Amino acid sequence: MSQLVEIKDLHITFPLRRGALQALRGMSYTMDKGEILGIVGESGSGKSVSVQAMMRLLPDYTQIEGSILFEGEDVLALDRKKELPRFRSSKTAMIFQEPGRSFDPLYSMEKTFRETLRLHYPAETDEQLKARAVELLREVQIPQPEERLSSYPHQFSGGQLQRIMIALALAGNPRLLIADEPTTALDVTIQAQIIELLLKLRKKRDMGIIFISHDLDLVARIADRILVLYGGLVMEEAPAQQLYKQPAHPYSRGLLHALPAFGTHYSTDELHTIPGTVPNPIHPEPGCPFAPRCSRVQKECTEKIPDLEALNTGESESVKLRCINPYKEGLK
Amino acid sequence: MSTACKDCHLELKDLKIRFPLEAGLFARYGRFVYAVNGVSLHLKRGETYGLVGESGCGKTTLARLAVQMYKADGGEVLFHGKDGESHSLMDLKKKELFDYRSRVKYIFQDPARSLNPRMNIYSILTAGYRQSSAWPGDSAARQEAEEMMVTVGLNPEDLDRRPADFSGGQRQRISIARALIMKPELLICDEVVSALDVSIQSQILNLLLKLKDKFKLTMLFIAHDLTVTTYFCDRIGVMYRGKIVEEAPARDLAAKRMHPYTNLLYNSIPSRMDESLETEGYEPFDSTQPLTGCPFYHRCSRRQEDCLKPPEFREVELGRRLACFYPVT
Amino acid sequence: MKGFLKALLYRPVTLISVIILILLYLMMIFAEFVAPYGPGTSFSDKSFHPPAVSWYSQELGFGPQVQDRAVINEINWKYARIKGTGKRVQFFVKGEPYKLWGLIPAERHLFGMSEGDQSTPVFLMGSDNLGRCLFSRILYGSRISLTIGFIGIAISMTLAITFGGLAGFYGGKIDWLIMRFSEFFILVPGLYLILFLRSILSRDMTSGQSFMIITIILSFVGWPGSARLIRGMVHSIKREDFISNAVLEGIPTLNIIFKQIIPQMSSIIIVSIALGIPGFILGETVLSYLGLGIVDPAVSWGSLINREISTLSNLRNFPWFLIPGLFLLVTTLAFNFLGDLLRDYLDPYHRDKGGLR
Repeated sequence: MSQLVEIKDLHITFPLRRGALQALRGMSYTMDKGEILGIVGESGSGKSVSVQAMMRLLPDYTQIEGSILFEGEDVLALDRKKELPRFRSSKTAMIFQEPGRSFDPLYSMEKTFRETLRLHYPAETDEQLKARAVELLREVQIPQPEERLSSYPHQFSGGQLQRIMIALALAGNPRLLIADEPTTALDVTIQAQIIELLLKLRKKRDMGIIFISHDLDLVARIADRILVLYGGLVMEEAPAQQLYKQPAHPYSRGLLHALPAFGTHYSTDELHTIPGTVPNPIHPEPGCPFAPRCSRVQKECTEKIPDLEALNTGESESVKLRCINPYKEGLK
Repeated sequence: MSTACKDCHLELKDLKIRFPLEAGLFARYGRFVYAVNGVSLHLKRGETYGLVGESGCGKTTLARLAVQMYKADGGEVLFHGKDGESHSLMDLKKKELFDYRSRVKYIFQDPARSLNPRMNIYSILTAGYRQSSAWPGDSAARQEAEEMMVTVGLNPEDLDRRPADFSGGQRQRISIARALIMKPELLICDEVVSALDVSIQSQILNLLLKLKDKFKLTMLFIAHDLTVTTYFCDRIGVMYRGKIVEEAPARDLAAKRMHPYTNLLYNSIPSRMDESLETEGYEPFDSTQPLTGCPFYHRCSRRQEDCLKPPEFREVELGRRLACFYPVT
Repeated sequence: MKGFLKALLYRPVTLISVIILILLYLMMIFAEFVAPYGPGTSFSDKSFHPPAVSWYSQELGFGPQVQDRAVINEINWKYARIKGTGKRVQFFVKGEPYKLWGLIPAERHLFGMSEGDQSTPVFLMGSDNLGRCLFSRILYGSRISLTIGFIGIAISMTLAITFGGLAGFYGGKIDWLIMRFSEFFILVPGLYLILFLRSILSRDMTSGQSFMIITIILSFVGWPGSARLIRGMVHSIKREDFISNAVLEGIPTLNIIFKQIIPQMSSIIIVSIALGIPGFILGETVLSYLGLGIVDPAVSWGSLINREISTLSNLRNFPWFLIPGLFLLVTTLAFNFLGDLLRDYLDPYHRDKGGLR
């Protein structure tokens, strides 16, 4: 079986005092081994919640429906004490937006690595673990890994900490790496380095990556396939290049157009905008969540949420779309 | 006054500032963060000047020096009025500084943090106006505030609500309205779109373009994104480690980048990225050391021994200035 | 307000605390009416009389009633009930004349014995060494004990906000001076400072004067803690962009401190007030217990548990002397519970997050 992750009809609701916050309203996708899946969405789209559910990081009062299968194993049914730690540490790994907050400021890197590696190699000596740590740091291209192991977190820059985060994530040889906006807090030049590094690591280790970001351009660079989320729903699912060249959903297209292309200038080129604001996740309007902001809105759009349907594009790979009036032509 | 710069609006001359690294009883004195290491630039009347750079490069500090939120250690800020008069910011008295700051307005990056959560929108818009001698009284000011709300695309009936009732994009519109209510001549926009959702950023950019025409504004636009800056600005300065390394008209910079750092920024644009990018983690620069040579020396792939001496910032072609011994051609 | 009431319903203990506080303050306000006797009314032959009201007897059945008692042992003041003397307690009865709030003349009391019956006192909570009704004295004493907290916290909070606000905003030398000044008050152990301040002030004072003096002394000991808290918060809030903006807009500094920064911490201030009140009540108690606070004929809860009365042998023989302490305990606990709820309710990080919990 080549499927790494299979998610079926995932609903996630947070019961809040003000009402039920519907973070995800039915998400389904499958992901192959070694694939990079990009999840794109703005704040409140449910992009982070979907992977937090997979890692079982959501608080207990959250209402989760649907199923999450990881290599055929039901993640939501894992025993919290017995099975979950093994699942979290050796099958999957996660890196976050702000690497600086993930480290204990009082631990040297050597100690941090030793604790993590000890979980996976309980029989090895400190020396052997140190050698493994150096090897991992070398893999994420930290200069002079032997010397840097004795440093403390504050002695590293944000970009280096994110590399170390990745090295720690690799310690258990995970089948899946979840990266939740890993470069948002970093500078653009560092962001580019981290992206290229992740691409190299995927190739070398044949590891699946779920890459979450609000930046469609960035996701298009790294991902094989992209899910576009809006208002807790998958709006479009397509191979990255396909989505980049021919976004069919008005929201995907709006996102691509919303920022200027390099080389355009205000004096000659107009900047397209998506009017309105992001929808309220607590009392969503009936119908397509994008309908109030959509330029191609139809009467039916505001009445019923369209289904996510496979679209026949003539290309070999499939595109799924939740729209009754999509764009048919490619971008200029 | 030295030689007047033709149709200049704001001139920054060789500005420098360093901040003491530690404070308190046990601090080791004499250690500093060198934030801005001598920057000169000028804004022509009606133009939008973009400052691009990464976090820690000193672009925000530089902008704050321009409204004297900090006092510079060296250099001067010159403001040229319409009547041809020039003032140095250092010599201004309290009252004159107030006038200056109502003509040059600063807009903060994060609207969630720059609006007082406990004041209603009307009070937020008029708090500074109230202090000015031009304060027209409550009823007239309310009308002006209502008009300003419409101008920035908000509902004038919302004046009595509080910032928490608005989304991020709407809050940024409020802070723009606050900046404009005293009819300033110059806006300093510090990463005004960075904290916003992608689909909202373009709304704000378009609004600023519209307002620029309407109020004949000069703008200093600070961003970390080369794409947005080349779209939005007329001229661009690229900053690194408290220095401007390259300055050129936006279109020229989009067409050709001569400084290795500008080029690196360009190659880091997501749609431009490829495997050729150097992925080795570099050691970040130590901003507690005074700058001696080329600011980009430690990361530059083209560096030579002369780069340990400071390169001269000189005009290399019409409108383009560059500080590099071995530019990309 | 609606949200606050809802939050109250989720915490029964706090709800009970609030009800108790309301009752205590109502009784304090109408003390003359609720108390059957005045604070100084003494039944000279009824010293150390135990609580007298019972709820059932064979002759009268159910209902509040009082039986005559006679002293059987003059040394340890043992009383015995006299059979067949049971009388029902009357409500809204005419009794000792008084002036409500010192203004309105009246003579009705909430409860008491039928008119003119002076032989059988209705000691709800017993009597003290001079045969004075303890319940009445507790009610009159609450006039000092329950208000000293509010007045004290008002003074100390004003000091704390002023000094903390100035120190936090200006920083530098002003900060240094104010903080060293406040540390002086913190470093000297509070009790010694109180005793010192009290001893340099004259002891011959009317009860009103000593009440004010005590409140001011307690406020001076109480402000530095809150001032440091406020200074720290001002220090962090002044770095917020909206404050930088206010500075750029030329708004006068005092205006920024007291109209823009301090209101940001209103929730913290409300909580400090609720949690600070018990401290003042206890402070007054300590002084009065030591005989340095309220002294006879004025009465406060502290003076009721005065060390001269609350000796160990007295407490063993006459356990009702513990009742004023019980009032004190319940009141301070109630304020603490209320403060806890206010803190959770006003904390922005508790709100809207965590949903039902």
